[in-house]
Amino acid sequence: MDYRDNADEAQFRAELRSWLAEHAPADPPPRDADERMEYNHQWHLALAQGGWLGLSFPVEYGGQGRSLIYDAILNDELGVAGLPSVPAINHITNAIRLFGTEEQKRAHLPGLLSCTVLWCQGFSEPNAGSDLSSLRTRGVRVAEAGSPDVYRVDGQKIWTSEAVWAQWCLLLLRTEFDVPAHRGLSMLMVPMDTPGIECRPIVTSYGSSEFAEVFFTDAAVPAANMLGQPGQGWAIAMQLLGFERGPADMGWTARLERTLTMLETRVRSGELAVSPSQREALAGAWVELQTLKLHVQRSTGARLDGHAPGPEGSIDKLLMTNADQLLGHVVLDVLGAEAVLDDVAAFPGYVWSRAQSIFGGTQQIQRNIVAQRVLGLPRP
Amino acid sequence: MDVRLNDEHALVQQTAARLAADHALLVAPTDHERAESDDGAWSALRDTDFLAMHAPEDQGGAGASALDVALVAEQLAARLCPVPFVAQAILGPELLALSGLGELVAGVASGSQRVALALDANLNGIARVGEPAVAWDSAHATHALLLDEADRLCWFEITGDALPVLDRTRVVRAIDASGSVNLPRLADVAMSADDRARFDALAYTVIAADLVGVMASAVDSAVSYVRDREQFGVVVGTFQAVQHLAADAAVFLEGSRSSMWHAAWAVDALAPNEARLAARQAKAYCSRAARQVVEISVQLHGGIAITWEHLAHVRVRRALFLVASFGDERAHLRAIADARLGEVPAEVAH
Repeated sequence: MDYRDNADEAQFRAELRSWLAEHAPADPPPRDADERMEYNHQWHLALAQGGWLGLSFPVEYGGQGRSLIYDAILNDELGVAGLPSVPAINHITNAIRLFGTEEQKRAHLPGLLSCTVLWCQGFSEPNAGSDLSSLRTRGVRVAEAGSPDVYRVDGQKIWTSEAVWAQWCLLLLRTEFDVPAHRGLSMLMVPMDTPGIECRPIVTSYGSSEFAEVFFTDAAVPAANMLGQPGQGWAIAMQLLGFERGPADMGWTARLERTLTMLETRVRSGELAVSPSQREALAGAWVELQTLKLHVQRSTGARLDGHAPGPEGSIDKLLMTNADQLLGHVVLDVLGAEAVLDDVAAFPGYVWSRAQSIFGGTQQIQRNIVAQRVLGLPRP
Repeated sequence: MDVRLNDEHALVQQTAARLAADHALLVAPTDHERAESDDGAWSALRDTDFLAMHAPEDQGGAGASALDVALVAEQLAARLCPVPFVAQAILGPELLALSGLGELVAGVASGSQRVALALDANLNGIARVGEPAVAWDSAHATHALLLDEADRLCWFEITGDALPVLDRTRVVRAIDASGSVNLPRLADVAMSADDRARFDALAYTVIAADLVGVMASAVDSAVSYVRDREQFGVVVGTFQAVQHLAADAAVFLEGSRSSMWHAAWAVDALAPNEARLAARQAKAYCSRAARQVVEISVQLHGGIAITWEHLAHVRVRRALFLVASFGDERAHLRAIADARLGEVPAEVAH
């Protein structure tokens, strides 16, 4: 048991810091959505070229085969420095690695890991959020004489991050119709320039537009683009969700810590006056954030033996929600008028803290998972 | 970074779990029983080298890590064992070892010496000579340890009656503090500020570990209860309202365990002030979590949890008593704020 870096990890962290000092973007992220996307893309290309991506991905598929700790260190350092995070491709790369054919792996993994090809993930639908397996986007397999089979895809996806800029979409859709809901789902890799696909950006309540709705109208996707077997989509999706936890949580945790540290620095310098109860509230936020971080470190440790992430990850997500939302309240309380006189002083962080209990499985769904799959309580 | 228990930790855990199962509390003790009931468990702790286990070997102890200590404390608490492990097997010997009193530590380890702690009347920490105090976790102890005005270790003979304290698994005796100015001094050398910080770190950590054990048992008990209990023709554990309470309790429990592991590691690995801050973090989080978890457990058990017969109240009592011992959540939040934000002049603070 050791919470500190070992010699190799410490050297990696030091090298990363000096690389960041030289290569981190000097300007803050632009507010315009397209400019911001380009800014992040250039950053991801730089990270990839610098050799900082795919750290824990197997060597045979273009990764570096290191332990998960190195991903955690990278995410931690980017979060602490307030730099844009790594590209959110971990679940897609692992899906292709675990379920793809050799040909699919060769075709897609290099572009993903080098960040030269952008992917999005089409799971949620307007009427299939928490109840994901009820989704209705459908693909019907069609044989056409003289050409390979295609799926004709119709339907609508929502909350698709970066869909407007993506070249590929990992699409969860219904292809089997005479089976129970879960078993009828499949995973299709869809080129976003396929005729019949249209993206409409969603403007969030704090004015950003990284999400989109994606409409499919008789879009023809080669049947060879299926990941895994027809009907295997749900199993793939469930396995992928676990990859959102662990080292990935370290990055968000570090971002929250940065927010708190900046507040503490202003209090310490006397710039922000606080009451005794606000001092206790700041200490309480630190306690909650530390608990989150220490738990994420423990969860990462539990995966070092090679175990795939399981339902316990829902505990991490719930601790994340608690910490994020508590901090959101403390920031509003301590900043007081400053938080409401400037639209961007606290509101974006606050909105994200509220979204924390909605995206990636709501707080209620996570509690169901903990109760039923961790504690073993019976399904209703 | 490698946050995992190794095989040796697992062995300590298993040994402690077996010992705890053998000496588990099955019914709430009466006032008379709680003062008398721990003899078998104490011998078992001696036979497994769990007495004075954190004191260094050259000071008569077993030289185990604070993490080992925490794992044992958790297992004993998970069975609500009425044994004064915290004060008499760990914290008392720690004070003795830090003052170079290896012979007394060896006496504890062999089972011939029973030494408890004197805490100030607010239970914030080790008492000072001359102030109101109680002999904390003092079942079968003959002496209680405290510090004089120059931080030198003293002790006195415990003669007072057992107090009617909340915790049914622990004995606390009254101390007549008025005559305590001329107590036998055990050590001529003052404990350093670093030693006191390290002692505080161990104290907050081992209490956090005890709280984790109580929480684990509260969650287990509630989960098995709602899995069996039927209402409206179905098992109540199928209701989402019930499941979500159980899930919240599990989240508090695992967050607490993660904090406690880190604090235990920090006792032996970090500088004294950092170790104490880590331990304050764990004590603050576990204190808040423990109250929530035992309350959720009571709610999930329903009316049976309000009876004397059911062990739910023993968990509530043990948890609330430990929450208030060695500083409650608020006391630690204040200290954390001072450490992270800088101290404020007294006239500003109030």
